[in-house]
Amino acid sequence: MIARIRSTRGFTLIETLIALVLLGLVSVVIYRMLITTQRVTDAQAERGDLQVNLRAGALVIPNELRQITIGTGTTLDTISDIRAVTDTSITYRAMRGFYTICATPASATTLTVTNAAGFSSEYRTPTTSDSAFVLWEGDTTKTSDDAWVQVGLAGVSSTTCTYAGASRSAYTFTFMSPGIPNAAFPYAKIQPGSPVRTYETVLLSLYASGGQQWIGMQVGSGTMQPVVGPLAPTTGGLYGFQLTYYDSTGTALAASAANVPKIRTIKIALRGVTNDQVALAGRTRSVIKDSLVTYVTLRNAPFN
Amino acid sequence: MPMTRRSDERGIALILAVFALVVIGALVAGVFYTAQLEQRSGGNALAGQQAADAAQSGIDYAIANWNNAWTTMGTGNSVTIASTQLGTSPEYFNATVTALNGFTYLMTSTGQVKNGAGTVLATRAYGMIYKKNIPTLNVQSSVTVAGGVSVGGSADINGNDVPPTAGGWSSTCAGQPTTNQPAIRTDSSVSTHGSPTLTGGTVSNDTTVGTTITDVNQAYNTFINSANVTIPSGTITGADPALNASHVCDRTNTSNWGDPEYKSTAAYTVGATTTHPCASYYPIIHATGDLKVTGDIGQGILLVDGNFTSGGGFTFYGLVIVKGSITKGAGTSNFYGGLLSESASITDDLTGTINIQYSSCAINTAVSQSAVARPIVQRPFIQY
Repeated sequence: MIARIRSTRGFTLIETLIALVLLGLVSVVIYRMLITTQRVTDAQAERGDLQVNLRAGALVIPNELRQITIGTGTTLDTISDIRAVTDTSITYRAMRGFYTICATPASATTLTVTNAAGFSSEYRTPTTSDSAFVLWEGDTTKTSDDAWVQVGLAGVSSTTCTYAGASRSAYTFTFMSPGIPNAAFPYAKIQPGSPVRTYETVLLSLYASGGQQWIGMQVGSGTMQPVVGPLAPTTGGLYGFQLTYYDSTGTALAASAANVPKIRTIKIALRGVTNDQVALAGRTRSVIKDSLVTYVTLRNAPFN
Repeated sequence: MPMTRRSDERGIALILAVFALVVIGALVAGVFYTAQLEQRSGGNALAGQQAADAAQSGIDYAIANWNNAWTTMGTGNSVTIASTQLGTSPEYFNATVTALNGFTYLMTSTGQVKNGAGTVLATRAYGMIYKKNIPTLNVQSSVTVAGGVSVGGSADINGNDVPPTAGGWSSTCAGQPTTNQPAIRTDSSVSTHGSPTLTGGTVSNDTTVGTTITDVNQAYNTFINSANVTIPSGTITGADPALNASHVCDRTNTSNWGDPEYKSTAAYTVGATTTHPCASYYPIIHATGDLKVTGDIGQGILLVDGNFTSGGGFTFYGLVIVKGSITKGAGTSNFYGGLLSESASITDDLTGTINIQYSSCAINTAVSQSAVARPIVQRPFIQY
């Protein structure tokens, strides 16, 4: 009789099958855990990007709109920086620089301004595609007869000027003809030390590109460029980028040129989506949506 | 019989458990990391907004504490408001006021949010351009009254435009144009008795009075908001210029109404040089009710919400605006500039010795020195 050696005994078929089933179950569990981990990580990354995107929009857009001036008239006048409004777009004069006049100009078409620190603020270097507002002084003891004269820049060159007893870095602006309208605003009344604001006209609008919605920025007649997005598609009258205009009493205004003189505050609603679809447990793959609302009060609007 | 455990019978439970823990740990770490990013992003947005609020506070602080001495700064010069913490919050601002010329001022304010270690978390900067605004007060007589005027006794009201000569007035008014005016203008009538002297005559039913009073009404609240001295209803005796221990005009002293005549008690002498620090102080003095002043001297703008009684020994240079009536008390009073009664007639006779000498220079000097800063038209705000 051959003695069974216990230590060399093999697996029975049943033992093997049970082991394989258990291994399969464990593998499935591990697989599901890995997949869930990946999905959660992807979803969190997408959500993070989305929120950063919305916050960037909520920072950039108010910064663009905060310096807007509104005229005191009852109709859209040349003073108002808002040139057109809809529920999903706004065309406005975006301030790009503040400078101090070095000296009273010698002609209606040239002006030297200092860009020295402490006397200027520059979003970017002025260019010939910019326009400018020049503060015209009447009686220097009063504000009632002061006015901003609007001119187009035909030339910008770097120079130096003497202002406040010192030589300072400066620009010489050459204006498009006729320059300062001398009959109504004699250039001899433009005072050293008075401010000049440069600006460009910008359209900020909801627009579609690549099958997705974006906030686009168009400078002058240039090409629309995406600045914030992607945004949620329009559903139920809600847009990915939606502007609501309010008067001084907090009453919402219809988006129209006639209401521009009444605008004091703008509500900016951003409804964003993630760049890619994500699949969370128990759900089909889809984009994550989030929204952010901010308000900007127009700081150069009248106090009424 | 107990089973013996074989050394090679270990399963994979431990390995699986460790693996599961690693996976779960990675999952939790990922969520934690993302949440932390969101928290930081939100915190940055919050800090940015707080810094913007702090910057705005700096602008507001500078204008609320506007110092007329700033208007004498040379072009290009600045004053800095030291870093100021907003209460116990982590928000701070640094503000600067720069004279762009003799009448335009750039206020810049940098707001910051700091953590407990003093590290700056966010910075925002705003600017505002202000202009020195001198109210339009076209005072065209020694006494301007909306209502009837009764003048008697030996009152001497002179409409000739004569600059004062006391103290530093000669140099202040040198070269200033002069235009003689009537002694009294009223939109009603003037009655006289006794033997008053009214140089320049009187103008009754004057339609320009309405315009003058309207201008005064518009300026009145502005002046009140900028008042250097506010006094309650009552009698004031002994207002005199005063210096502090550093020999600087003591503008905190409510009995100090300026030094129009170089009083010796407010002079400071070093060697052969004597200065009068309060001579350039033209306060706005606001009486919130009826006011009687006796034996005082002052200059600037005197605003009286109620009735005004000028007692003996009172001398004032500049502009006096009275909401109620003007009454002459016992003794001698001297005024250089102009008196306006905005809403009531002079109810009592200007009897006794009262001298009211019209001076456009005294009026304009007081008003211009009391000018307030206002945002320039349409585009005062700058975002840095």
